[in-house]
Parts: sequence; structure tokens; C-alpha cells
Amino acid sequence: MQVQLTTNILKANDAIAALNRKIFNEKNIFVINIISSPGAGKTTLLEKVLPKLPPDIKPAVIEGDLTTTKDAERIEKTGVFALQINTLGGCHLDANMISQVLEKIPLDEINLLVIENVGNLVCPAGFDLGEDMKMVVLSVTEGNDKPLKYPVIFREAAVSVLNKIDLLNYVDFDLKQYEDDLQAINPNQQRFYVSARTEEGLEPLIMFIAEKVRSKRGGA
Amino acid sequence: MHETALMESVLVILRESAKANGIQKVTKVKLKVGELTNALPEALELAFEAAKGDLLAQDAILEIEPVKAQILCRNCQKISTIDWLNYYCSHCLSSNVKIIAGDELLIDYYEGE
Repeated sequence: MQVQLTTNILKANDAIAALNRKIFNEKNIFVINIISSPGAGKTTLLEKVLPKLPPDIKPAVIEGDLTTTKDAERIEKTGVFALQINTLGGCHLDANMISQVLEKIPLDEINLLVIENVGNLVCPAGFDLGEDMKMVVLSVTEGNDKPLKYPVIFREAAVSVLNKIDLLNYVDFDLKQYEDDLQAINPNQQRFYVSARTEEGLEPLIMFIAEKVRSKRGGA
Repeated sequence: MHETALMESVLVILRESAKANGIQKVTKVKLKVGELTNALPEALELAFEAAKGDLLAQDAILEIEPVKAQILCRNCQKISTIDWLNYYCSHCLSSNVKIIAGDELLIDYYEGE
């Protein structure tokens, strides 16, 4: 007996993501899903960006890692609420993991939720968490070839952040090639160039995030 | 290794459908996997082998049909087949395009008894 299904394999994840998105929309919370390889500087970027957000932006963070609570502890030191999810080997966060921790997050006191995904440029790209926007972070030490090697995430991400630009003089990162490749893969992507360490270039990114939060709150 | 997670989702869907259709053992599963999905056929095969047991028969077959990526141009309304890296209309070179194939992960059908 043959049974025709034509069913989306990710339908269970997508259904939960849609529920998450409904909750975020009802509460006017703008949600960013940050994706990068390990060591690109996602957590450092958040440590620097979150305290500089304008006072009307009220953030909270979900940290995804295989193990340890190191990243959530780092975020908490900035005074921002942070919750750690340990995937215990899982290479990405899925919508159900987010759904299960939502009740522990003070959703009525925030308007920005940043989800720092597990460090990985491949798997997290396929799993919708209910976010408004994916942000991919790449550091110059990883090389300019990454958009071509991992095109799915660079296409999915509405925003890219190139980090560690203070090291550009010390590495063979071809900025022109990087921009050309991104233009081919995702011509509409908003691009930022920063050094989280020296704080160069952070201001435009901070203003961009603040505007996104405000427009969701105002225009929803 | 998100192919393992994908195969778990396949099994959840199959289990539900098999129950509704009175099927005890699944003997063949046919998937359609878009080339833009990052899902590797070899890794899906491995996850399928590992999942054999209560529902999947020991000699069950996994067939994977790869799906080429296609875009529809919003500018000239023509369809292009694209490679991974160039999301441009091959007719008018516009980048105002919509992906219409190649990002799907579907269970096409399954067979069982």
C-alpha cells in the first residue's frame, strides 16, 4: 500500500515557530536569531551592544550552547536578563526549545528578545524559531570565503555583521570579494562592519536594532 | 548533524499516518530534498538506517529525489534554474526574485503493509 503525503518534514517545527511568533507579535517583542560559527564573537557583540541600546529598548537574551552557562553569565553581568538553553549535543536550537522556556522570560517587561543560536553556520539556518530576523555574524579571521561556502544562512539572514574589523590589517580577508559574494547571494541584506572589541562601527548597528524594535511596537 | 533531527520528524509524521492507515511496517519512504536545504543525502541515509526498528522494516528503502533550485523573477516573470550562488534572473539579471523550488524538504509518499 502506498500513501501519498507531500508533507513538509519540518511542519512540526514550523507549527511551533508560528505559535512562538504569535506570542511575540501579541506582546510586540522584536526577535533576532543570531547565527555564526563558534568564536565569531556573538556573545562579545551582545555584551557591547546591549548596554548601549537606548533606554526605551528593553532586551532579554536566550543563549544556546551544547553545554555550560558561561554565555548567559556573561550577559547577566551587563544587567540584561539571560536564560541558558543547553542542547546537550544538539547542533541547533529548534522552535520547541524556545517554546519551552518562554514562561521563564519576563515577556511583559521586554520589547527585544535576542536568541543566540548554537555556534554553527549550517544547521541553525533550517530551523525557524519564530524570529522576526536572522542576523549572521562573521569574523574576519574566518576568511572571506564563508558566504560562498555557507550560502543558505547568508541568504536567509536579513542582516550580516562582519566582526573583528580591527584585525583586517593582520589577516588576508578580501573585503571586496566578501561584498561581491554577498551581493550575489543576498543583494537586499543590510550589512554592518564592526569590532566588538574596540567598539568601532557599533553605533549604526545599535540604531538599526532600536529602529526595528520601535517600528514593530509602533506599526504592528 | 541536523539530518538526525530531520529523520526524527519524518518518523513522527510516518507514525501518525501509518496508524491512521492501519499500516504496521513501512517498507519504503520517498523524500524530495531541495538542494538549498543543507540536508545531505548520505547523512539522511545514515539516520534512516539508525531509525530502523519498530516502524521501519529492516529492509526498508529510502529514496531521495533531489530538487533543483528555481527562481521566479518578479521583474520579467520568467523562471530560471540557479546554482547555489547566484540568485539572479538568468534572463534579465534582476535580483528581485523569489525561490520557487529547491528549498523544500518533503515526504513525497511511503509504502507499507
